[in-house]
Amino acid sequence: MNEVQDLVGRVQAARTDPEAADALIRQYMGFIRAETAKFIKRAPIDGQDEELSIAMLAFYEAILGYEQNRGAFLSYASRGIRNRMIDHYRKEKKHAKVISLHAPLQDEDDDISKLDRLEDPKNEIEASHRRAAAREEIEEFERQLGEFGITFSEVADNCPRQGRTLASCQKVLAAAKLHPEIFDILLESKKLPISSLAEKSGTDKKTLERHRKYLIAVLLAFTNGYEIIRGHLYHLSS
Amino acid sequence: MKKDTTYLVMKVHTAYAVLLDNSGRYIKAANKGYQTGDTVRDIVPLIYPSDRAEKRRQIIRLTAGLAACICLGAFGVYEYQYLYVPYGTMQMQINPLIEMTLSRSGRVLDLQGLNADGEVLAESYDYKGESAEKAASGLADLAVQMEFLKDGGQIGILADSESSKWTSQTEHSVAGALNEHLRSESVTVEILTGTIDLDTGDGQFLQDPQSVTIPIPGAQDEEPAAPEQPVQESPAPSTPVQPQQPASPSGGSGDSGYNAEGDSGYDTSGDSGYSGDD
Repeated sequence: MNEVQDLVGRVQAARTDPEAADALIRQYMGFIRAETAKFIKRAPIDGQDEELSIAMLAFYEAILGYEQNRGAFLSYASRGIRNRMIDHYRKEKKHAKVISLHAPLQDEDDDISKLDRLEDPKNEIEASHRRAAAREEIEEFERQLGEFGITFSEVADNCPRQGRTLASCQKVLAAAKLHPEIFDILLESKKLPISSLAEKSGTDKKTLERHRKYLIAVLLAFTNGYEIIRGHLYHLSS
Repeated sequence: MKKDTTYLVMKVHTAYAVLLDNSGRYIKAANKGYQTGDTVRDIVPLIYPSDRAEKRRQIIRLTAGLAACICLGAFGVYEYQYLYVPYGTMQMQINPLIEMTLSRSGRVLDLQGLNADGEVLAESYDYKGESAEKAASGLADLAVQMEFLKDGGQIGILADSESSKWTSQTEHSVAGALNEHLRSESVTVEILTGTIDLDTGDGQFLQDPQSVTIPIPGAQDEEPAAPEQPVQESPAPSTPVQPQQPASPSGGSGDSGYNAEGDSGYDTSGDSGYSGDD
């Protein structure tokens, strides 16, 4: 009984704390693997079976959606994983005609796959350098976000999911670009100048308050020094 | 999610990764072995419980809306048929003969005269949007005005449709309405359901075939069933020979077949022309 209560407590804590969620997921990896094995009829392999990644995501979704009146958490999570797997297989069926690059070449030796004969258009060394540069920039960005008391996980949770709200937030960014002093105020005060932004962008104050963390992250990306991130946001830059 | 969208991996957790798309959206998605700084394409995004509930509500709303539309559509079709599709006809015989085309609800869809007077009456009356009862009352008034119908006259109502129930209901309803209307107008007119026999003046249904009996002279003594049989043109062998009658005192005009001497025309041997075997 105590174990059950303990698990419920940890699930509730994991809902708001990403580190606690990671710890809980790591602890129940055996359970997640077992649930995955039910579908793929074998033990899943880390880094190779997409199903395992999806099962882990479904377990995290179960953490976010669990309420005590829905029965035992593990049964609830098991149902969530099963539903996610069914959705995944349905989606995969649509791509059934796509040929795998790992499939062997026809009329050739079985050991040679199509991938082996494919010319790699990317320069691996250049890609590695670019990835390292991006990582460095993102880590700096994360550190600066931390000064505002915000994590990427919180930004993602605070991000508008409706197109109309996202467009409003993009309007705020456009207004800030026209008035660069707003970026200075943001960096100096470590606060989002809501009134000034609402006035200059014509967006409702409530919308700005509701998506404060997200807006800070977006505006911060357009301050000096984040070329790679800004380059990635080419839809916003234009 | 556009096809050409790319995602920059911002943070990696055990079960998920935080990704940034080209439009500035931060998304939590399944961590398929990503590393911070990677740019990826095919992702499996996290579905928030609130989004799932909202989606369910949307589906319920959509289903309810669709069901309401189907119900409204079905009801609309039924109503249209009930109000605007011809279901039967009703003839009104004043003596101008008029035929109304009616919907199932009893709405007049068309009005035409079936004889010359009927055409005059139909052309003079605006029936649009009226019920059969109202149109019948209006036509009766117009017929009185145009002197087609006088006090003590008759109106015959004859409805026709595939449904005998509708037919009788319509006839009775129109006859009742006409009666009431004409009574209020202080006009005494006899309302009959069915076609009026103009010779007798009686309201009768003449749809059934009538049998006419033609009596044959001299066959009255025979069996009563005989009138149904067809009349035969060669009666000689079957007609019994009448006993000889004395000639009339006047001598007759000779059309009896007897001559003036009382000669019957048969030969003197008394041979009747029949063989003895008979």
